Formats: sequence, structure tokens, C-alpha cells
Amino acid sequence: MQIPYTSKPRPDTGLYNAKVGLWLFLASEVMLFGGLFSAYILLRTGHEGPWPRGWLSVPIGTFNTMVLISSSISATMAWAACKMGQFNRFKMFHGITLLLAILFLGVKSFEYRDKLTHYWVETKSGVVADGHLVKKTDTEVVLHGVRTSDAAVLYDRTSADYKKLHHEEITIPTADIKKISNYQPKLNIYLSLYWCITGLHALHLIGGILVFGYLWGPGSSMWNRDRERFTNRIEIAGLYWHFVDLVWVFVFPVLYLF
Amino acid sequence: MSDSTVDLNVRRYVMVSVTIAVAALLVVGISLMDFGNHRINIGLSLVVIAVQAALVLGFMMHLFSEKKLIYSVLGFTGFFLVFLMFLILWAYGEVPDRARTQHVTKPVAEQSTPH
Amino acid sequence: MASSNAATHSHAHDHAHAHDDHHAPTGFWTNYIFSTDHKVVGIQYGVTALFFMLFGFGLMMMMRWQIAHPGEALPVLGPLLEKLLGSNMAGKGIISPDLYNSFGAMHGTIMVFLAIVPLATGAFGNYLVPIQIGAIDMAFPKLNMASFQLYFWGGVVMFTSFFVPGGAAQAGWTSYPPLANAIPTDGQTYWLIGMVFLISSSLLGSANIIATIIQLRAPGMTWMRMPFFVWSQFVAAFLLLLAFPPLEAAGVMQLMDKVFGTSFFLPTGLAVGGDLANISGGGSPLLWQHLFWFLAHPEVYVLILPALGIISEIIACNTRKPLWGYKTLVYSALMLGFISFIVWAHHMYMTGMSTKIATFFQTTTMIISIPSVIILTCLLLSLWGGSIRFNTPMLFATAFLPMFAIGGLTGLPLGFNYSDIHLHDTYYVIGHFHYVVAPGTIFALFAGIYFWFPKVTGRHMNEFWGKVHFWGSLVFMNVIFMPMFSQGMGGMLRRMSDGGINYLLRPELLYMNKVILYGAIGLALAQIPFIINFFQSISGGKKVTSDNPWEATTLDWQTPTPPGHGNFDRPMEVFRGPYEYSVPGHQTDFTPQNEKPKA
Repeated sequence: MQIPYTSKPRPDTGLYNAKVGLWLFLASEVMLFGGLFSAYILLRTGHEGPWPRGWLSVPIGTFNTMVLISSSISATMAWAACKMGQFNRFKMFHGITLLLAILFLGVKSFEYRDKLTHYWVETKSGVVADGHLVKKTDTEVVLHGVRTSDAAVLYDRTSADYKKLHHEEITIPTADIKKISNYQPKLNIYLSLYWCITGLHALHLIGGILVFGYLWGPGSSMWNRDRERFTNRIEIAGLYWHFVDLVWVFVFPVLYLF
Repeated sequence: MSDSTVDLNVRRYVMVSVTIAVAALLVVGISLMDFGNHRINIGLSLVVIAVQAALVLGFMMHLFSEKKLIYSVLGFTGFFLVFLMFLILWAYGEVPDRARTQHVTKPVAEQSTPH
Repeated sequence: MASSNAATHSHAHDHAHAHDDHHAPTGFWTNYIFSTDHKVVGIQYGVTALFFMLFGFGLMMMMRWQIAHPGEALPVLGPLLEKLLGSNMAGKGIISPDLYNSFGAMHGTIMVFLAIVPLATGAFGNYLVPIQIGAIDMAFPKLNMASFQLYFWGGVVMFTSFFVPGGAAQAGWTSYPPLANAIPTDGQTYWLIGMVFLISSSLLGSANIIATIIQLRAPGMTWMRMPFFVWSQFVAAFLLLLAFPPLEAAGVMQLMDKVFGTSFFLPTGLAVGGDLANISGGGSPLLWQHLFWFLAHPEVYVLILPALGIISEIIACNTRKPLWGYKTLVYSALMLGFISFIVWAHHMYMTGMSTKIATFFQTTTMIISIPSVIILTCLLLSLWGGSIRFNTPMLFATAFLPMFAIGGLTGLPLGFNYSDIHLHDTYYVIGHFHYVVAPGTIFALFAGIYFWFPKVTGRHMNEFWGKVHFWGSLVFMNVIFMPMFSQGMGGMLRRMSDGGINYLLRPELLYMNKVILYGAIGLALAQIPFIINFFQSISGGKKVTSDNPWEATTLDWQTPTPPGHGNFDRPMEVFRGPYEYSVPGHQTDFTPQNEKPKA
């Protein structure tokens, strides 16, 4: 005996099993990211002192947003192709979705690497320097960035005060360094939230890539065995993908723009 | 599902996606404008984001044409999420005095202790 | 795994018919370790959970002994602990304060997350829900298998944490920061990783149960014809689905605090051991509490709802009458589930919240007691006028009622923030929640084991030893937990390795620690007949004489014994409600749900 309603919907609910399962899963994901955003709101409103703003590259973030939206379109087209019985078209669009997803991750890892090569240095003489690492030896640290004696200016990088600072090559003798750190999660609470939220989002993307990859490759053999059930799987995968996009709709403005 | 209905839907999906993309650019634009108070930027952006979210949920995830059961699951989820957010923030802000903004900078050992 | 030619041929025409007997012979791994059959998964959950329950019980025994004999070496086990865990933790066989705290934290964690919930939802839920609704399996069998594996390996991670340097987590099952972060050892990190596994397992399992109940009910099995057990699993699954994720988020954040040095929950200016901590600060310890209790309060309803479901089935069957107020029970369970999401901060009255917030949560907490009382009243009224059969399951079920009542009523002073000021973090709290979970939920789980054992194995458990187990457990559980109310009111604080002497307002209550220890020993002894009975009856118990030895109406008793693949020997169709007992004019005093109506 086969489990019923895997392809045809159940009459009284109008749904097939996988769709019910997926929406339940998505409900739990809403609570997961909702919990994270609650944490963000609480930590930001309760924060004393300036909150980092403009630390992330908006053009890159916007580009990634467009990548994700495009992948949503191609995912939907893939499903539509299945519905119309066009396997090759499905393969093409599904493949495009995969590639766009991998592109998103690639851009993200570029951003992450950029964070890890960006340093914040506080000297004993009260100067704060912030920039990309050029060289680090036993005797000195060389950054390409800005320096100021008023650390507060470095927080809001959209402000006029920050924009007045010159970007130059700064050499700091190691003996003068009070604190040095790259933009890893523990530098400040904003970065902790950035790494946590985008990290979890990226993990969900990777999960999606694995599922999409499976459905594009070995899983696509179901097309010949049970076409309707396979189409439903593509629909479900697409729904999950749109959800990943939905989370990004919130993540991008909150972390990059606010 | 007939070919033509699917075709029509595809066009609609594309239009909706383009709208979502435009909205994203709008949010970027709002962030660049100066309204005096930063909170206004955030507030306006949230409105646009809400519309974006509604478009993704409603059209791309075809929630607008989905069955009642799914609506009720999401309705409860939304209610609990709002409560989670709202109650945490309310509890945090609503304290007997301003004690939460004070913090100790001297290590405990330096202060006098009862035992 | 050899496959015969006949098997490969039969796979060529998939779909439709019952080709179970033509499946390729599957090996040990597919049948027992990676099985996707919900019954096997249910048994896997059951056996693993019972093992963890025994382990958690053992931890408690050691703790109680130490409290009753402060500064003395633990007999027999002391030297063993010293050898296993080092002289830092158990020097000279005495449980050090750190080790005591880790026993306490792990006792709670193991009992809640590795024993009770997996047994109630993973074992009973997985095994019985599909059968009771007339389905052949869960909606997503492979997901079911995955959720068991996640649970199992999460349990392994938790278990291993005892053996890492520094030992297991020590900050309570609640893992409050900054303490959880300040303790410099890895046990806490293991705890967090274990929790991520367990939460993921739970999420997959709960989505599976809900989807199964929605989609796979047999024809004629309408929502209001489902046994109350299924309703209780449905609501419990929703609680798990929606309440766990914020804790998962918090767990990830605390993991980042431990591993990457972030300060999600560590405030600016935190001092550890007299020195300013080298952290960025800006975090909030209260945030953890909110996110934790957002889960942990619905979690306690997850602990009790399946138990109420089990009790309901047993009461209906053994009183030979329908449950009183089925619809009321269902609506109360739904209301209970809903309100449980908005009461959580009654665990946080002492965090400095204003009276406005406290009043809000106090009000919702009082409101939630209403559906609980309604459910209990319905079950009590169900006994009235019944022709009661006092077999072992029924003994546990009837005892459950007053025990749960004590647990519930003692919760009221804790729900009011005014009285909670005095009682918070005292032994009163421990008495309260143990009454609900130990002679409450665990009694229901025992009842369920005795009740469904014949269906799963085809043999009865021994009635005499079952009754011994029952009376011993009932008496000794009360000996253990009743004194705790006095101790708590007298000011004895919980989680103190010295037994709370420092804060005790009434030192004459200290002797009760010894009484409680004797109770614990008695309780341990009372479990021995159960363990022996359980294993011995699998092969040597009295064989059942029919597929429906208890003469019950629900679909789980209309299967072959034990149920095979596909559960039923014919497609199920349901014609009536779940509790048609003693219907006037009917030949027998019960009418199964799937019995065809007479014209």
C-alpha cells in the first residue's frame, strides 16, 4: 500500500502531503528568524552608545538581492515548465536557479572574507584606526583606511563627519596597539548579529542548494516514474526557495541599511 | 492546469518579481534620503518591506490562492511571533526605574562586599 | 542485502496494491536501525527514552544521597566516579559542588528532552497516531527515521559531555547566561550542540505528526471522531513546532558566545571572578530568559498533553463508558495550547519586571489554569457510574488524577507574582513540577506501556508485579515530593549542593532530606519489578487471546498483533466516534470505530 495524497490532493483539505509538511516547516522557520529579529530589535533599542551603520557594502548587498530575486523567478519558471511537461526547460531553469544560488553564496563569502581582512585598531595614544589590512609583521601593522581620535565618528559611516576622513595608508607600531581585531563576530554586538543572521540564512541557502542539486541530478529520475509527484516536489522546493528570499527581504535592509 | 493558464501565471510571477526588485531599490533609495530623524527612514522602509513581503508570500508562494488550512497555520504563527516580539520589548522597556542603563565598570573585588 | 529476482520484477509495477510480501528481503540495518516504519521508529524512541530516563533517575539518586549526607563519600559509586571523572570532580568519592551542579543540570535536561518528551511524542505518538487514525504510516516515513537519528545522536552528544574535561553543563537545564558562558569548560558547548540536534529532531517529528493527522485520516475519521489521544498529540506537536525555534535561535547565539566570544547575552561591564570580562558587551541576559521560556513554558504542556491523552484512552476503555465531555476536552486542549504561548514570563517574576508586565503574565497564567481544570474534571466525571476494571494501567490512570491535581494546584501560588517572590527558586517549585511530571506524566506513560504492551508484543505484562510497581511508585513518589513543599516554604533554595542550608529559614526541615532519600531508594526499588517485568514479558508474558484483549473501540485495537507493514489487514473505514462503549441494545459492551453499522 502506498501512502495516499503524495501527488493528488486530499479532497477535504485540497492539499497534498508535502505541501502541508512544508508550510508547517516554514511556520517554524518564521519563528526561528522571528526570534532572531526580536533579539536584534531588543539589543539595538537597548544599546548604549552609537550603533554601527553603513559598515556593509550596499551595492554588493543590492546585487545579491537582485541575484536572489532572479533565482526566485527561475525557480518558478522551472515549476511552470514541469507543469507544462517540458523536462528540458525545467532542467534549464532549475539549473539557472542553482547557479544563481551559488553566485549568491560566492558573493557572500567574498563579503565574509572582506570582513576578516578588515581591522579595527585602538592605540594606547587614543587613536582609532579602521581599514583593510595591508601588512602585519611583528613590529607593525599597516592598514589602508581611516584614523581618528574620536571613535564615535567611526560608527555611522553614512555621516558627514565620517566622510570627511581621508582614506590613507596607516602604519601602527605593534608596541602602540591596545586592541586589534578584525571584523569577526565578537568585535561588537552589531557584527555578532550580522554574522549570526546572515550565517544562518546562508546555511539555509546551502540546504536549499543541496535539495535543488539532488532534484536536478539523481532526483530527476522521478520525472519518468511519477511525473505529478515530481512536479509537486519542484513546487515545494520552490516554496522553500521563496522563503529564503523572503528572509533576505528583511535581512538586507535591517543589516545593510538601517 | 492548461498551458495558457500556466503561461499567464508565469507572466504574473515575472511582473511580481520585477515589482519586488524595484521595491528593493526603493528601500535602498529611502535609506539614502535625509528626513532629519533616522527613525523616519526606518519606518518608511518597513512599510515598503511589508509590501515586498506580502508580494513574495502572496504571489510567489501563492498564499493568496492557497487553502484555508495553510492560512490558519500561518495566522497562529504570526500571532505568536508578534507576541514574542512585543512582549519581550515591552518587558525590557517597562522596568520600575532607569536601573537598566546603569552598569558597573569597577571590578567587583574593589567594591566592598558583605562577606 | 541480497535481493531476489522476484523482488526486482515486482518493483517494476509499483503503485497501488499491497506488495509488502514481495519486497526484497531487507537486512538488519534497514529493519532495525534505519527503518522508516513508524512502529519501529516508535519502539526505537521508546527504548532509547527509557534508557535515558533510567540514567537521569540515577543522577537524581546520587544527588539526593549527597544532599542527605553532605561532605560524605558516595558509597560504591563514589570511587567509580572518581576514576571516571577525575579527582577534581569527585575527589575521595564525594560529589563536588561543580559535579553536583552538572548532575542537576543534566538530570533536568535528560528527563525533559531525552526521556519524557521523546517517550510521550516520539514513542507513543509515532507508534499510535497513524494506527489510531487508520493510516498505514506517517506522512513522511523517511523524515521520521531522520528525526529519530537526530534525537539519538543528540543524546550521544549530551551523554559524552560528562566525559569532557570539566564535565557536563553546570548551569541548570535553563542554561542562564552569564553563568553558562562564564564557566570556562566545554560541557556547556556540548549541551548547546546537543540541544540543536534535539530541537531539529523535534521539529521534523512534530511537522510529521501534524501533517499525518491532517492528511492521512481514514475515510469516515472526521476531526471529531478522533480519539482524544490523537488530539493531544496534535496540539503538543503544534507547541513543539512553533515554540522551539526561538530557543534554537537563542541556542545558536549562546553557542556563538561560547565558541566565537560574542556577547549576545553578556552585558557591558560584566565581571567574572573579579576581573572585567574581555568581551564586547552590549548583550542582554534577559534576552536569553525570554527566548528560553518562550519554549520552555509550552514545553511543559507538551509534557502533560500526551499524558492526558493516554489517560483518556485508558479511562474510557476501563470504565466501559464514553469519556465525559469529548468536545469540551478537545476545545480545552486547543485553548490550553494557544494560551501556553503567552504565559512564559511567570518564570521570570524575579527579574525586575514592572508590575504591569507581571500583572499581564499573571492574568494569562490564571486563565490557563481553567482549561487544565476542565480537562481534569471531565476525566474525573468520566469515572462516575463506570464499570471500572482495576487493572494495572487503570490504577496508574486513576492515581494520575489526584496527583496531577496536587501538581496543578501547587502551581497557583507560583503563578501569582506576589507569592512567587517568596517561593521562586525554592524546593516548593521542585515539588510542584515534579508532582505534575512524576506521579503525573510518568504515571501516564507507565499506564500507556502496560496498556499497549499486548498490542506491540502480543503478550501481557505480569499483573501482580505491575501492581507492586504501581503501589511502590505511588507511595514513594509522595514521600519524595510532598516534603519539598514544606522545605520550599521554609526557604530551602534549589540547585544548592549543600542542600540549601545557607538560605533555610527553618533548619528543623533539614531532616526531611533524609526522608526524601529513603523515598528515593524506595522508588528505585519499586522500579525493579517494572524493568524485569518489561523485558521478561516480551518473550515470556501471557500470550494475548485476541487482537483486542482490552475490548477497546479505537482503531489501534483493530489491527493484527503485532501490526505488520501497512498496519491493517484491510482498508479502514470509520463509522462512529471513538468511545462507543455500553451502547444500549448492542450485543457487546463496545463497538469498534470501524464496525459497519447494521443497515
